[in-house]
Amino acid sequence: MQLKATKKRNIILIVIIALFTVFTMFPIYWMVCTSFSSIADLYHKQSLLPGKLTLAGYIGLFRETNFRHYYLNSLIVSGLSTLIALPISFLGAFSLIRLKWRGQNFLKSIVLWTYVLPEVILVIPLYVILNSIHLLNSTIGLVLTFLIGSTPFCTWLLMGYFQGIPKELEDSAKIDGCNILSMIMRIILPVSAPGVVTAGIYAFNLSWALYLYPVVFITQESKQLLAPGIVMLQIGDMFPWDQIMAAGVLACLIPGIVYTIGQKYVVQGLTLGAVK
Amino acid sequence: MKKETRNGYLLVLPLICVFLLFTAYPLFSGIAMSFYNKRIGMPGMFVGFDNYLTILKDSAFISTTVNSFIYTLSAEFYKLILGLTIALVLNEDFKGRTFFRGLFLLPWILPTFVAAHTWRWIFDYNGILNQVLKSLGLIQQQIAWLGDPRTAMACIIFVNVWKGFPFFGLSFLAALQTIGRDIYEAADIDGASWFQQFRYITLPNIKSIIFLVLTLSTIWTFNDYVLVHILTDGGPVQMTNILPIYIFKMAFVSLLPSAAITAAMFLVPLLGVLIFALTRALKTQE
Repeated sequence: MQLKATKKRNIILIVIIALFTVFTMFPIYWMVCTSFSSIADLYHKQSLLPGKLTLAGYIGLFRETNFRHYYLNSLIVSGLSTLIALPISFLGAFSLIRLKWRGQNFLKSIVLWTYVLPEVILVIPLYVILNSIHLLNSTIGLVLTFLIGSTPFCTWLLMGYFQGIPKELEDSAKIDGCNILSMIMRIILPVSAPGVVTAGIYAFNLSWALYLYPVVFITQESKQLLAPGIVMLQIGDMFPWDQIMAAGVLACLIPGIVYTIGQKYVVQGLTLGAVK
Repeated sequence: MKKETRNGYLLVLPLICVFLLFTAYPLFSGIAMSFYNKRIGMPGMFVGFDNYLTILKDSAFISTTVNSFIYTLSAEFYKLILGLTIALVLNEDFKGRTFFRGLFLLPWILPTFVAAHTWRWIFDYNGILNQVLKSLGLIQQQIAWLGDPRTAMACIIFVNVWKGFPFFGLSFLAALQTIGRDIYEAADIDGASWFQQFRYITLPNIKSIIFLVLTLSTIWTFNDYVLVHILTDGGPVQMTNILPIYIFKMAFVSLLPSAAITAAMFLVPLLGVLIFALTRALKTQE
Protein backbone atom coordinates (compact mmCIF):
# COMPACT_ATOMS: atom_id res chain seq x y z
CA MET A 1 0.00 0.00 0.00
CA GLN A 2 2.71 2.42 1.08
CA LEU A 3 4.90 1.35 -1.83
CA LYS A 4 2.07 1.82 -4.31
CA ALA A 5 1.49 5.37 -3.06
CA THR A 6 5.17 6.27 -3.49
CA LYS A 7 5.14 4.85 -7.01
CA LYS A 8 2.05 6.86 -7.87
CA ARG A 9 3.67 10.00 -6.48
CA ASN A 10 6.80 9.43 -8.55
CA ILE A 11 4.83 9.00 -11.76
CA ILE A 12 2.89 12.21 -11.14
CA LEU A 13 6.14 14.06 -10.42
CA ILE A 14 7.83 12.78 -13.59
CA VAL A 15 4.85 13.66 -15.77
CA ILE A 16 4.60 17.20 -14.41
CA ILE A 17 8.35 17.80 -14.69
CA ALA A 18 8.34 16.48 -18.27
CA LEU A 19 5.40 18.70 -19.27
CA PHE A 20 7.00 21.79 -17.74
CA THR A 21 10.33 21.01 -19.39
CA VAL A 22 8.72 20.88 -22.84
CA PHE A 23 6.68 23.98 -22.09
CA THR A 24 9.65 26.10 -20.97
CA MET A 25 12.32 24.73 -23.26
CA PHE A 26 10.54 24.39 -26.59
CA PRO A 27 10.58 28.10 -27.60
CA ILE A 28 14.23 28.41 -26.60
CA TYR A 29 15.11 25.25 -28.55
CA TRP A 30 13.12 26.51 -31.51
CA MET A 31 14.82 29.90 -31.49
CA VAL A 32 18.29 28.31 -31.54
CA CYS A 33 17.19 25.77 -34.14
CA THR A 34 15.75 28.44 -36.45
CA SER A 35 18.81 30.63 -36.14
CA PHE A 36 20.94 27.84 -37.67
CA SER A 37 18.47 26.98 -40.45
CA SER A 38 18.28 28.38 -43.94
CA ILE A 39 15.27 30.56 -44.67
CA ALA A 40 14.25 28.34 -47.62
CA ASP A 41 14.07 25.29 -45.35
CA LEU A 42 11.98 27.19 -42.84
CA TYR A 43 9.23 27.90 -45.32
CA HIS A 44 9.21 24.53 -47.08
CA LYS A 45 10.09 21.39 -45.20
CA GLN A 46 9.83 22.51 -41.62
CA SER A 47 10.19 19.81 -38.99
CA LEU A 48 10.77 19.74 -35.26
CA LEU A 49 14.28 18.44 -35.76
CA PRO A 50 16.98 20.69 -37.15
CA GLY A 51 17.64 20.21 -40.86
CA LYS A 52 20.86 21.20 -42.57
CA LEU A 53 22.70 23.59 -40.28
CA THR A 54 23.94 26.88 -41.67
CA LEU A 55 25.36 30.12 -40.35
CA ALA A 56 23.61 32.14 -43.07
CA GLY A 57 21.33 33.86 -40.57
CA TYR A 58 24.23 35.06 -38.45
CA ILE A 59 26.35 36.08 -41.44
CA GLY A 60 23.46 37.98 -43.02
CA LEU A 61 22.79 39.69 -39.72
CA PHE A 62 26.29 41.17 -39.62
CA ARG A 63 26.74 41.79 -43.36
CA GLU A 64 23.35 43.11 -44.39
CA THR A 65 21.96 44.87 -41.32
CA ASN A 66 22.89 47.42 -38.70
CA PHE A 67 22.79 44.73 -36.03
CA ARG A 68 26.40 45.20 -34.89
CA HIS A 69 25.69 48.89 -34.21
CA TYR A 70 22.58 48.04 -32.20
CA TYR A 71 24.52 45.48 -30.18
CA LEU A 72 27.42 47.77 -29.41
CA ASN A 73 25.10 50.66 -28.54
CA SER A 74 23.17 48.43 -26.14
CA LEU A 75 26.37 47.28 -24.47
CA ILE A 76 27.53 50.86 -23.99
CA VAL A 77 24.22 52.26 -22.72
CA SER A 78 23.39 49.33 -20.39
CA GLY A 79 26.95 49.16 -19.10
CA LEU A 80 27.30 52.88 -18.40
CA SER A 81 23.88 53.11 -16.85
CA THR A 82 24.63 50.18 -14.51
CA LEU A 83 27.98 51.67 -13.50
CA ILE A 84 26.28 54.95 -12.59
CA ALA A 85 23.31 53.32 -10.85
CA LEU A 86 25.39 51.09 -8.58
CA PRO A 87 27.32 53.66 -6.48
CA ILE A 88 24.25 55.92 -6.23
CA SER A 89 22.11 53.02 -4.98
CA PHE A 90 24.82 51.62 -2.75
CA LEU A 91 25.36 54.87 -0.83
CA GLY A 92 21.63 55.64 -0.79
CA ALA A 93 20.66 52.21 0.50
CA PHE A 94 23.34 52.34 3.19
CA SER A 95 22.11 55.71 4.38
CA LEU A 96 18.46 54.62 4.32
CA ILE A 97 19.08 51.48 6.38
CA ARG A 98 22.01 52.33 8.64
CA LEU A 99 21.83 56.03 9.41
CA LYS A 100 19.02 57.89 11.14
CA TRP A 101 17.65 61.08 9.66
CA ARG A 102 14.33 62.78 9.22
CA GLY A 103 12.28 61.89 6.14
CA GLN A 104 13.90 58.54 5.49
CA ASN A 105 10.68 56.57 5.77
CA PHE A 106 9.14 58.83 3.17
CA LEU A 107 12.10 58.27 0.85
CA LYS A 108 11.89 54.51 1.37
CA SER A 109 8.34 54.49 0.06
CA ILE A 110 9.40 56.74 -2.82
CA VAL A 111 12.00 54.14 -3.79
CA LEU A 112 9.25 51.52 -4.02
CA TRP A 113 6.98 53.85 -5.98
CA THR A 114 9.61 54.73 -8.56
CA TYR A 115 10.59 51.07 -8.92
CA VAL A 116 7.09 50.10 -10.05
CA LEU A 117 6.20 53.32 -11.87
CA PRO A 118 5.43 52.29 -15.48
CA GLU A 119 7.59 53.63 -18.32
CA VAL A 120 4.49 54.38 -20.32
CA ILE A 121 3.53 57.17 -17.89
CA LEU A 122 6.97 58.81 -18.02
CA VAL A 123 7.88 58.34 -21.67
CA ILE A 124 5.76 61.22 -23.02
CA PRO A 125 6.95 64.00 -20.67
CA LEU A 126 10.51 62.64 -20.94
CA TYR A 127 10.30 62.97 -24.71
CA VAL A 128 9.23 66.61 -24.39
CA ILE A 129 12.01 67.33 -21.86
CA LEU A 130 14.77 65.57 -23.82
CA ASN A 131 13.62 67.35 -26.97
CA SER A 132 13.86 70.75 -25.30
CA ILE A 133 17.40 70.12 -24.01
CA HIS A 134 18.53 68.50 -27.29
CA LEU A 135 19.19 65.06 -25.81
CA LEU A 136 17.12 63.03 -28.26
CA ASN A 137 19.29 60.68 -30.33
CA SER A 138 22.04 60.82 -27.73
CA THR A 139 23.76 58.17 -25.65
CA ILE A 140 23.75 60.45 -22.60
CA GLY A 141 19.99 60.93 -22.83
CA LEU A 142 19.48 57.16 -22.87
CA VAL A 143 21.94 56.42 -20.07
CA LEU A 144 20.22 58.99 -17.84
CA THR A 145 16.69 57.76 -18.56
CA PHE A 146 17.78 54.15 -17.98
CA LEU A 147 18.64 55.19 -14.41
CA ILE A 148 14.93 55.74 -13.73
CA GLY A 149 14.27 52.03 -13.35
CA SER A 150 17.64 50.62 -12.35
CA THR A 151 18.46 53.01 -9.49
CA PRO A 152 15.36 52.36 -7.35
CA PHE A 153 15.60 48.64 -8.07
CA CYS A 154 19.25 48.42 -6.97
CA THR A 155 18.52 50.58 -3.94
CA TRP A 156 15.64 48.31 -2.98
CA LEU A 157 17.72 45.18 -3.36
CA LEU A 158 20.68 46.60 -1.44
CA MET A 159 18.41 47.87 1.34
CA GLY A 160 17.36 44.27 1.85
CA TYR A 161 20.96 43.20 1.76
CA PHE A 162 22.15 45.73 4.36
CA GLN A 163 19.45 44.58 6.76
CA GLY A 164 21.18 41.21 6.82
CA ILE A 165 24.66 42.50 7.72
CA PRO A 166 25.53 42.78 11.42
CA LYS A 167 25.89 46.33 12.64
CA GLU A 168 28.87 45.61 14.93
CA LEU A 169 31.24 45.95 11.98
CA GLU A 170 30.54 49.65 11.66
CA ASP A 171 30.64 50.28 15.38
CA SER A 172 34.20 48.98 15.60
CA ALA A 173 35.13 51.25 12.70
CA LYS A 174 33.52 54.22 14.41
CA ILE A 175 35.65 53.71 17.49
CA ASP A 176 38.70 53.67 15.25
CA GLY A 177 37.66 57.14 14.14
CA CYS A 178 37.31 56.45 10.41
CA ASN A 179 35.41 59.02 8.41
CA ILE A 180 32.20 57.73 6.87
CA LEU A 181 33.32 57.34 3.26
CA SER A 182 36.53 55.47 4.03
CA MET A 183 34.61 53.33 6.55
CA ILE A 184 32.12 52.39 3.81
CA MET A 185 34.82 51.68 1.27
CA ARG A 186 37.03 49.67 3.63
CA ILE A 187 34.50 47.78 5.72
CA ILE A 188 31.01 47.81 4.22
CA LEU A 189 31.84 47.37 0.54
CA PRO A 190 33.87 44.14 0.96
CA VAL A 191 31.20 42.38 3.01
CA SER A 192 28.37 43.52 0.76
CA ALA A 193 30.11 42.62 -2.49
CA PRO A 194 27.70 39.74 -3.29
CA GLY A 195 24.75 42.13 -2.92
CA VAL A 196 26.41 44.66 -5.20
CA VAL A 197 27.11 41.94 -7.80
CA THR A 198 23.47 40.81 -7.69
CA ALA A 199 22.25 44.38 -8.05
CA GLY A 200 24.63 44.92 -10.96
CA ILE A 201 23.43 41.79 -12.76
CA TYR A 202 19.80 42.76 -12.43
CA ALA A 203 20.41 46.41 -13.32
CA PHE A 204 22.31 45.44 -16.46
CA ASN A 205 19.70 42.96 -17.63
CA LEU A 206 16.88 45.35 -16.82
CA SER A 207 18.54 47.98 -19.02
CA TRP A 208 19.39 45.45 -21.73
CA ALA A 209 15.70 44.63 -22.19
CA LEU A 210 14.34 48.20 -22.13
CA TYR A 211 12.34 48.92 -25.25
CA LEU A 212 10.09 51.92 -24.85
CA TYR A 213 12.71 54.59 -24.12
CA PRO A 214 15.08 53.84 -27.03
CA VAL A 215 12.27 53.35 -29.51
CA VAL A 216 10.96 56.83 -28.71
CA PHE A 217 14.15 58.77 -27.97
CA ILE A 218 16.27 57.41 -30.84
CA THR A 219 15.29 58.06 -34.44
CA GLN A 220 18.70 57.70 -36.13
CA GLU A 221 19.08 54.09 -37.14
CA SER A 222 22.81 53.82 -36.44
CA LYS A 223 22.22 54.96 -32.84
CA GLN A 224 19.42 52.51 -32.12
CA LEU A 225 19.66 49.83 -29.42
CA LEU A 226 19.17 46.10 -29.68
CA ALA A 227 15.58 45.70 -28.49
CA PRO A 228 13.99 48.09 -31.02
CA GLY A 229 16.69 47.13 -33.54
CA ILE A 230 15.47 43.54 -33.87
CA VAL A 231 12.02 44.79 -34.86
CA MET A 232 13.70 46.73 -37.67
CA LEU A 233 15.11 43.53 -39.18
CA GLN A 234 11.64 42.98 -40.58
CA ILE A 235 11.44 44.51 -44.06
CA GLY A 236 7.85 45.37 -44.92
CA ASP A 237 5.96 42.09 -44.85
CA MET A 238 9.17 40.09 -45.12
CA PHE A 239 10.30 38.33 -41.97
CA PRO A 240 13.88 37.02 -42.23
CA TRP A 241 13.19 34.62 -39.35
CA ASP A 242 16.65 33.06 -39.51
CA GLN A 243 18.20 36.49 -38.90
CA ILE A 244 15.62 37.53 -36.30
CA MET A 245 16.17 34.33 -34.29
CA ALA A 246 19.96 34.65 -34.67
CA ALA A 247 19.63 38.16 -33.26
CA GLY A 248 17.56 36.71 -30.42
CA VAL A 249 20.21 34.12 -29.59
CA LEU A 250 22.93 36.79 -29.60
CA ALA A 251 20.72 39.06 -27.49
CA CYS A 252 20.57 36.31 -24.84
CA LEU A 253 24.31 35.81 -24.92
CA ILE A 254 25.28 38.77 -22.74
CA PRO A 255 22.57 38.26 -20.08
CA GLY A 256 23.46 34.56 -20.21
CA ILE A 257 27.13 35.23 -19.49
CA VAL A 258 26.27 37.76 -16.81
CA TYR A 259 23.90 35.33 -15.09
CA THR A 260 26.36 32.45 -15.31
CA ILE A 261 29.07 34.51 -13.65
CA GLY A 262 26.76 35.55 -10.84
CA GLN A 263 24.74 32.31 -10.81
CA LYS A 264 24.79 31.66 -7.12
CA TYR A 265 23.52 35.16 -6.36
CA VAL A 266 20.73 35.23 -8.90
CA VAL A 267 18.16 32.98 -7.26
CA GLN A 268 19.00 34.54 -3.91
CA GLY A 269 18.49 37.98 -5.49
CA LEU A 270 15.16 37.00 -7.00
CA THR A 271 13.71 36.23 -3.61
CA LEU A 272 15.53 39.08 -1.91
CA GLY A 273 14.09 41.53 -4.40
CA ALA A 274 10.63 40.15 -3.86
CA VAL A 275 10.61 39.49 -0.16
CA LYS A 276 12.54 42.29 1.48
CA MET B 1 23.36 69.24 12.78
CA LYS B 2 24.32 65.87 14.18
CA LYS B 3 27.14 64.15 12.31
CA GLU B 4 25.06 61.05 11.56
CA THR B 5 22.23 63.16 10.16
CA ARG B 6 24.62 65.16 8.00
CA ASN B 7 26.27 62.00 6.67
CA GLY B 8 22.87 60.46 6.05
CA TYR B 9 21.71 63.31 3.85
CA LEU B 10 25.05 63.51 2.09
CA LEU B 11 25.06 59.83 1.08
CA VAL B 12 21.48 59.83 -0.10
CA LEU B 13 21.81 63.09 -2.06
CA PRO B 14 22.70 61.52 -5.45
CA LEU B 15 19.70 59.20 -5.13
CA ILE B 16 17.42 62.15 -4.39
CA CYS B 17 18.82 64.01 -7.41
CA VAL B 18 18.11 61.07 -9.74
CA PHE B 19 14.62 60.82 -8.31
CA LEU B 20 13.83 64.54 -8.57
CA LEU B 21 15.28 65.08 -12.04
CA PHE B 22 14.28 61.91 -13.85
CA THR B 23 11.12 60.79 -12.10
CA ALA B 24 9.41 63.56 -10.11
CA TYR B 25 9.96 66.30 -12.66
CA PRO B 26 8.69 64.30 -15.68
CA LEU B 27 5.81 62.93 -13.64
CA PHE B 28 4.61 66.36 -12.53
CA SER B 29 5.14 67.93 -15.93
CA GLY B 30 3.08 65.02 -17.28
CA ILE B 31 0.30 65.78 -14.83
CA ALA B 32 0.46 69.43 -15.92
CA MET B 33 0.36 68.40 -19.59
CA SER B 34 -2.91 66.58 -19.05
CA PHE B 35 -4.56 69.97 -18.41
CA TYR B 36 -3.27 71.55 -21.65
CA ASN B 37 -4.05 70.82 -25.28
CA LYS B 38 -0.39 70.50 -26.22
CA ARG B 39 0.64 69.16 -29.60
CA ILE B 40 4.20 68.24 -30.60
CA GLY B 41 6.12 71.44 -31.42
CA MET B 42 3.40 73.78 -30.20
CA PRO B 43 2.68 75.19 -26.75
CA GLY B 44 -0.85 74.42 -25.62
CA MET B 45 -3.65 76.28 -23.92
CA PHE B 46 -5.03 75.48 -20.48
CA VAL B 47 -8.20 73.43 -20.95
CA GLY B 48 -8.98 72.21 -17.43
CA PHE B 49 -10.51 68.75 -17.35
CA ASP B 50 -11.43 68.73 -21.06
CA ASN B 51 -8.84 66.03 -21.90
CA TYR B 52 -10.20 63.79 -19.17
CA LEU B 53 -13.79 64.17 -20.42
CA THR B 54 -12.72 63.51 -24.01
CA ILE B 55 -10.86 60.35 -23.03
CA LEU B 56 -13.76 59.05 -20.95
CA LYS B 57 -16.07 59.51 -23.95
CA ASP B 58 -13.69 57.65 -26.27
CA SER B 59 -15.18 54.20 -26.80
CA ALA B 60 -11.74 52.88 -27.80
CA PHE B 61 -10.41 53.88 -24.37
CA ILE B 62 -13.19 51.99 -22.63
CA SER B 63 -12.73 48.81 -24.68
CA THR B 64 -8.96 49.07 -24.24
CA THR B 65 -9.39 49.28 -20.47
CA VAL B 66 -11.63 46.21 -20.53
CA ASN B 67 -9.01 44.36 -22.61
CA SER B 68 -6.30 45.36 -20.14
CA PHE B 69 -8.27 43.84 -17.28
CA ILE B 70 -9.06 40.63 -19.20
CA TYR B 71 -5.41 40.26 -20.20
CA THR B 72 -3.99 40.96 -16.74
CA LEU B 73 -6.49 39.00 -14.65
CA SER B 74 -6.34 35.89 -16.84
CA ALA B 75 -2.55 35.97 -17.04
CA GLU B 76 -2.25 36.33 -13.24
CA PHE B 77 -4.68 33.46 -12.70
CA TYR B 78 -2.74 31.02 -14.88
CA LYS B 79 0.64 32.15 -13.56
CA LEU B 80 -0.63 31.51 -10.04
CA ILE B 81 -1.78 27.97 -10.90
CA LEU B 82 1.40 27.07 -12.81
CA GLY B 83 3.64 28.75 -10.25
CA LEU B 84 2.02 26.87 -7.36
CA THR B 85 2.23 23.57 -9.22
CA ILE B 86 5.90 23.89 -10.06
CA ALA B 87 6.76 25.13 -6.56
CA LEU B 88 5.05 22.13 -4.96
CA VAL B 89 6.81 19.75 -7.35
CA LEU B 90 10.25 21.29 -6.82
CA ASN B 91 9.70 21.18 -3.07
CA GLU B 92 9.66 17.37 -3.22
CA ASP B 93 12.90 15.46 -2.79
CA PHE B 94 14.29 14.05 -6.01
CA LYS B 95 17.52 13.90 -7.96
CA GLY B 96 18.23 16.84 -10.27
CA ARG B 97 16.00 19.25 -8.38
CA THR B 98 18.53 22.09 -8.57
CA PHE B 99 18.97 21.47 -12.29
CA PHE B 100 15.24 21.80 -12.98
CA ARG B 101 15.01 24.84 -10.74
CA GLY B 102 17.56 26.54 -13.00
CA LEU B 103 15.86 25.25 -16.15
CA PHE B 104 12.45 26.58 -15.23
CA LEU B 105 13.94 29.99 -14.48
CA LEU B 106 14.98 30.46 -18.13
CA PRO B 107 11.80 32.11 -19.48
CA TRP B 108 12.05 34.69 -16.72
CA ILE B 109 15.70 35.44 -17.54
CA LEU B 110 15.11 35.70 -21.28
CA PRO B 111 14.71 39.36 -22.32
CA THR B 112 11.02 40.03 -23.03
CA PHE B 113 11.66 41.23 -26.55
CA VAL B 114 13.46 37.99 -27.43
CA ALA B 115 10.66 35.87 -25.99
CA ALA B 116 8.08 37.89 -27.92
CA HIS B 117 9.84 37.44 -31.28
CA THR B 118 10.28 33.72 -30.69
CA TRP B 119 6.61 33.19 -29.89
CA ARG B 120 5.60 35.34 -32.83
CA TRP B 121 7.55 32.98 -35.07
CA ILE B 122 5.99 29.90 -33.45
CA PHE B 123 2.47 31.33 -33.91
CA ASP B 124 3.25 32.52 -37.46
CA TYR B 125 0.94 31.45 -40.30
CA ASN B 126 3.84 29.38 -41.68
CA GLY B 127 5.17 28.64 -38.21
CA ILE B 128 5.84 25.38 -36.43
CA LEU B 129 2.60 25.30 -34.46
CA ASN B 130 0.52 25.16 -37.64
CA GLN B 131 2.92 22.65 -39.21
CA VAL B 132 2.67 20.31 -36.25
CA LEU B 133 -1.10 20.58 -35.87
CA LYS B 134 -1.55 20.01 -39.59
CA SER B 135 0.69 16.96 -39.75
CA LEU B 136 -1.15 15.52 -36.75
CA GLY B 137 -4.38 16.09 -38.66
CA LEU B 138 -5.81 18.31 -35.93
CA ILE B 139 -6.41 21.21 -38.31
CA GLN B 140 -7.06 21.29 -42.05
CA GLN B 141 -6.25 24.94 -42.69
CA GLN B 142 -3.41 26.93 -41.16
CA ILE B 143 -4.57 29.42 -38.53
CA ALA B 144 -3.24 32.97 -38.21
CA TRP B 145 -3.07 32.64 -34.43
CA LEU B 146 -2.07 36.23 -33.75
CA GLY B 147 -4.17 37.66 -36.60
CA ASP B 148 -7.45 35.95 -35.78
CA PRO B 149 -9.74 37.90 -33.44
CA ARG B 150 -10.81 34.65 -31.80
CA THR B 151 -7.32 33.46 -30.82
CA ALA B 152 -5.14 36.60 -30.50
CA MET B 153 -6.02 37.44 -26.88
CA ALA B 154 -5.50 33.85 -25.75
CA CYS B 155 -2.08 33.87 -27.44
CA ILE B 156 -0.79 37.01 -25.73
CA ILE B 157 -2.03 35.73 -22.37
CA PHE B 158 -0.27 32.42 -23.06
CA VAL B 159 3.05 34.12 -23.80
CA ASN B 160 2.78 36.34 -20.72
CA VAL B 161 2.14 33.24 -18.59
CA TRP B 162 5.12 31.45 -20.16
CA LYS B 163 7.37 34.41 -19.40
CA GLY B 164 6.10 35.11 -15.90
CA PHE B 165 5.33 31.79 -14.20
CA PRO B 166 8.95 31.12 -13.07
CA PHE B 167 8.89 34.24 -10.89
CA PHE B 168 5.78 32.88 -9.17
CA GLY B 169 7.17 29.36 -8.92
CA LEU B 170 10.56 30.24 -7.47
CA SER B 171 9.23 32.83 -5.05
CA PHE B 172 6.68 30.29 -3.75
CA LEU B 173 9.37 27.62 -3.57
CA ALA B 174 11.54 29.86 -1.37
CA ALA B 175 8.60 30.27 1.00
CA LEU B 176 7.76 26.54 0.96
CA GLN B 177 11.29 25.66 1.98
CA THR B 178 10.92 27.58 5.22
CA ILE B 179 8.09 25.27 6.37
CA GLY B 180 9.45 22.51 8.61
CA ARG B 181 9.07 18.88 7.48
CA ASP B 182 7.98 17.79 10.94
CA ILE B 183 4.62 19.54 10.61
CA TYR B 184 3.81 17.39 7.58
CA GLU B 185 5.04 14.25 9.32
CA ALA B 186 2.77 14.97 12.25
CA ALA B 187 -0.13 15.55 9.87
CA ASP B 188 0.63 12.25 8.12
CA ILE B 189 0.44 10.39 11.43
CA ASP B 190 -2.88 12.07 12.16
CA GLY B 191 -4.10 10.76 8.80
CA ALA B 192 -4.56 14.10 7.08
CA SER B 193 -5.00 13.80 3.30
CA TRP B 194 -2.71 15.55 0.81
CA PHE B 195 -5.36 18.15 0.14
CA GLN B 196 -5.97 18.80 3.83
CA GLN B 197 -2.25 19.28 4.37
CA PHE B 198 -2.13 21.70 1.46
CA ARG B 199 -5.17 23.60 2.68
CA TYR B 200 -4.27 23.85 6.36
CA ILE B 201 -0.46 23.81 6.43
CA THR B 202 0.98 24.88 3.07
CA LEU B 203 -1.44 27.59 2.03
CA PRO B 204 -1.48 29.59 5.29
CA ASN B 205 2.33 29.58 5.30
CA ILE B 206 2.72 30.97 1.80
CA LYS B 207 -0.37 33.19 1.76
CA SER B 208 1.54 36.42 2.22
CA ILE B 209 4.13 35.68 -0.47
CA ILE B 210 1.33 34.76 -2.89
CA PHE B 211 -0.28 38.11 -2.24
CA LEU B 212 3.04 39.93 -2.68
CA VAL B 213 3.99 38.20 -5.93
CA LEU B 214 0.49 38.64 -7.35
CA THR B 215 0.54 42.37 -6.63
CA LEU B 216 3.97 42.93 -8.17
CA SER B 217 3.16 40.85 -11.21
CA THR B 218 -0.18 42.60 -11.71
CA ILE B 219 1.60 45.95 -11.81
CA TRP B 220 4.10 44.67 -14.38
CA THR B 221 1.54 42.91 -16.58
CA PHE B 222 -0.93 45.76 -16.60
CA ASN B 223 1.73 48.25 -17.66
CA ASP B 224 3.85 46.15 -20.00
CA TYR B 225 4.10 47.43 -23.53
CA VAL B 226 6.76 45.43 -25.36
CA LEU B 227 5.32 41.90 -25.30
CA VAL B 228 1.96 42.80 -26.81
CA HIS B 229 3.52 45.40 -29.12
CA ILE B 230 5.75 42.80 -30.77
CA LEU B 231 3.15 40.01 -30.85
CA THR B 232 0.06 41.84 -32.12
CA ASP B 233 0.52 45.59 -31.56
CA GLY B 234 -3.08 45.71 -30.35
CA GLY B 235 -4.56 43.98 -33.39
CA PRO B 236 -6.49 42.34 -34.96
CA VAL B 237 -9.33 44.89 -34.97
CA GLN B 238 -8.28 46.20 -31.52
CA MET B 239 -8.90 42.78 -29.94
CA THR B 240 -5.65 42.88 -27.98
CA ASN B 241 -5.39 46.63 -27.64
CA ILE B 242 -4.33 47.26 -24.04
CA LEU B 243 -3.75 50.60 -22.29
CA PRO B 244 0.03 50.93 -22.82
CA ILE B 245 -0.42 50.33 -26.57
CA TYR B 246 -3.33 52.78 -26.71
CA ILE B 247 -1.29 55.45 -24.90
CA PHE B 248 1.78 54.93 -27.07
CA LYS B 249 -0.16 55.16 -30.33
CA MET B 250 -2.07 58.21 -29.15
CA ALA B 251 1.20 60.00 -28.35
CA PHE B 252 3.53 58.91 -31.12
CA VAL B 253 1.27 57.85 -34.00
CA SER B 254 -1.70 60.20 -33.65
CA LEU B 255 0.66 62.84 -32.19
CA LEU B 256 -1.71 63.86 -29.40
CA PRO B 257 0.61 63.91 -26.36
CA SER B 258 -1.86 65.65 -24.06
CA ALA B 259 -4.61 63.13 -24.73
CA ALA B 260 -2.09 60.30 -24.31
CA ILE B 261 -0.72 61.53 -20.99
CA THR B 262 -4.29 62.01 -19.79
CA ALA B 263 -5.04 58.38 -20.61
CA ALA B 264 -1.84 57.43 -18.76
CA MET B 265 -3.08 59.35 -15.70
CA PHE B 266 -5.89 56.83 -15.38
CA LEU B 267 -3.19 54.27 -14.54
CA VAL B 268 -2.08 56.24 -11.48
CA PRO B 269 -5.01 55.57 -9.10
CA LEU B 270 -4.91 51.87 -9.96
CA LEU B 271 -1.17 51.85 -9.38
CA GLY B 272 -1.76 53.63 -6.07
CA VAL B 273 -4.12 50.90 -4.86
CA LEU B 274 -1.66 48.19 -5.91
CA ILE B 275 1.31 49.90 -4.27
CA PHE B 276 -0.71 50.33 -1.08
CA ALA B 277 -1.38 46.59 -1.21
CA LEU B 278 2.29 45.95 -1.93
CA THR B 279 3.45 48.00 1.05
CA ARG B 280 1.12 46.06 3.30
CA ALA B 281 2.30 42.76 1.84
CA LEU B 282 5.91 43.74 2.48
CA LYS B 283 5.10 44.63 6.09
CA THR B 284 3.59 41.20 6.74
CA GLN B 285 6.66 39.62 5.13
CA GLU B 286 8.86 41.22 7.75
